[in-house]
Amino acid sequence: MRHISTKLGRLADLAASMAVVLLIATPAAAYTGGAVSNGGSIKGKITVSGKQDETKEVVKDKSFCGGSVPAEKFIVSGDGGLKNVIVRIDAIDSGKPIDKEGNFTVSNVKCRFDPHVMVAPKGATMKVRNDDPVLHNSHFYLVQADSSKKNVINLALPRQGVEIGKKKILRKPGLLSVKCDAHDFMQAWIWVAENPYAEVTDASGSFNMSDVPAGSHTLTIWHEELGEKTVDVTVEAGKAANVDFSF
Amino acid sequence: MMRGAKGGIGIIELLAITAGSIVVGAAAGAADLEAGRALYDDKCAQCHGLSGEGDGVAADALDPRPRDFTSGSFKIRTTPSGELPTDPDLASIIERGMPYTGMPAWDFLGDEAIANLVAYIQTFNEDFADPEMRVDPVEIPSPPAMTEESVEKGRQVFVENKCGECHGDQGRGDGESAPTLMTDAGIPIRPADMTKRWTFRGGSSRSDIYRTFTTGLDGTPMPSYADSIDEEQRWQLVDYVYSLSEDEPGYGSVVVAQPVEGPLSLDPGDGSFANAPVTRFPMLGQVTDPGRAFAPAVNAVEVRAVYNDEEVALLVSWHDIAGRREGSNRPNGRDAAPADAALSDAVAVQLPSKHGGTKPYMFYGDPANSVDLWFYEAGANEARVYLGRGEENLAPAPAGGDEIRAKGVYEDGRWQVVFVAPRGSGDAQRVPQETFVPIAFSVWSGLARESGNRRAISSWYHLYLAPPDTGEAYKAAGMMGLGALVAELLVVASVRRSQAGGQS
Repeated sequence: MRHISTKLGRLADLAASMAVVLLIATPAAAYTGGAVSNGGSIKGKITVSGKQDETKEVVKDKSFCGGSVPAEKFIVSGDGGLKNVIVRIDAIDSGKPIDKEGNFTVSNVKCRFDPHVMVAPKGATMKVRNDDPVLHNSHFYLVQADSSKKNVINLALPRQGVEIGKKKILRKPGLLSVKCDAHDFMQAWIWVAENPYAEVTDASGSFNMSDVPAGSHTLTIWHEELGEKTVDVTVEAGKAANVDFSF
Repeated sequence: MMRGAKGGIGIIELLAITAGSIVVGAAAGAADLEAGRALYDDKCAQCHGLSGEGDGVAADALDPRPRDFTSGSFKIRTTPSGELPTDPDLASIIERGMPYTGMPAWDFLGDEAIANLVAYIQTFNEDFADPEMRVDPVEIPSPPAMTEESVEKGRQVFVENKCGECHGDQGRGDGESAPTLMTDAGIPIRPADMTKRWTFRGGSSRSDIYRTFTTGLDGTPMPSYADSIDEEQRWQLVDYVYSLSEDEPGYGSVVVAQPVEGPLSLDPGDGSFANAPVTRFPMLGQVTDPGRAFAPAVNAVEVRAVYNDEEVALLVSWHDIAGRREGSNRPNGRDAAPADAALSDAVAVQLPSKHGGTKPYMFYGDPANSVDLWFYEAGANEARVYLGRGEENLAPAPAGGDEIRAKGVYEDGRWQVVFVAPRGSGDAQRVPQETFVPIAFSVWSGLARESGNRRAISSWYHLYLAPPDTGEAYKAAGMMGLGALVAELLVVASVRRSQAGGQS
């Protein structure tokens, strides 16, 4: 019986993953960047209530890292604004240009990844860097539709000051989970975007997405613990549409 | 019912495989995918699963687990971190196998059959069919000369890059991180023991080791150092790691005890042990009786022995990535230890209770032929003696019997446990002179949750007490021989003289 339920579970996973693949596949049909003449913007604030961040116990290099580090899952402002939420539009095939030349770096600082959540465009060079005097490694996984993780690359950062840039890390779109095998409490998330409409909320929980072509769009709102939600929004030329969302 | 459900899924799997075959078939060219599939189903699927997910019927008994081909993640490759292996990479691992894992060498299948397997395995992951996902191998230059200087520089590279944090300061796989390391699938994984090069999964040549530093081992915590340690230093590191190990394990079958004067020491650092030859015995999982250990943590013990007129001392040493003294352990029992029970490390020495009889059954003896078991428990740091007449009939030895003393030390990834036991006398003589006494070993790793029947075992080997004053004995024999020769020559001479006299 167990065998059957596993098989059926796998079948369900397969169906689910096919559905998700179809969803993702639609916008993947290549994004075209250019001038946006009739654009507006989407602004908003993501909030949460009753959530507190947790700490993670440090099991190695305590003398440098300290006894514990914040998990950074819930960095909440006084009025409930939630940091590190990714707000994005998936289904869009043209709009403002993508900047692939920017600086996209995840640093290892005080035994945490900095930043904890970021957006980087597909095809850009991703850099990893060790600012600590202890050994780190940056192990990237692409989160699959069934939420399993697929190995992308595992780079050693054994000494302070080591910095490595790789295009390969951003070769495929989707959500990357970054781990350090030496410090299993370390965690970062990178959204590898196929279009420039993906933002990370700031310390007040706010985001501002500029130059969005006028029309109807679906915002996808993702948080590492709270999961993914969608909100429909209509953008009018020259105006700012407001999307406030509470998890 | 089960069969029906399985059949239903089988069609989907078949479709998926067929779809993959068409694409890869084009890329693979001459390879015969149908032949590859037939061979795979016959030889590989037991471990790797019919759909390549690493979930064959034998998979749960294997550690490391069989590769999940659908993951596209392969440990041993010539390509950079996270990339698919090349066709020759896959062919090579099939040919060579992976030492100290369940993966044997399949070189006898021949090149053509292996090429078919390589093509078929690639149908399990769609990335193989995508030319953009196939990248060139890294360059592995021919190794520069290994010198004392390169080894010393390599030691510095080892220290600067903190290799010991996983692999241990002495390279025994006992680094601080070792007990916490996981595979991508969330299964605990042990860092390589660099003092046992023959266990390296990807091979033990200097080029193999260079490749591992350069490309990392995908699916494990071992990262790529291609961008953080330059080529020259990577070769130096290779040479240092190479220098930490003998070429071969050189497993033996007899531990030869050396005679010593005076009392025997429980200190593994005692000078008397340094003069005794060391014999390494392979350890395997106990898989016969219930409570089996299919993949034990310990793969060998090294044993030295010394003796005097009254006692014999054994120094048993082995590597474990962590030394556990907390808690307790037990030599037998089929049930797993309770999950919340702290398990200490342990080691046992087994000898026949009676000298000269039939060799007892190796799993703690049999009803007719019992064994004595000296069970050292790290938690108590002492030995208990058991009398065994079978795996389910092992009991503390009756009171009033011989006392076995034992002490253990764990340092830098290595346990060293000394047993001192009375040799006995008369009928109770346990270890007589100049006799091959059967001896066997068991080891339990607390970290690996080994307890009772779940343990590493050796086969029966032998303990032999080298005769004392070996030099004197040979001298005496030589003198006797010489004396006999002189006497014979004198006889011959006298006979010749008398014959000569007779003729004159």
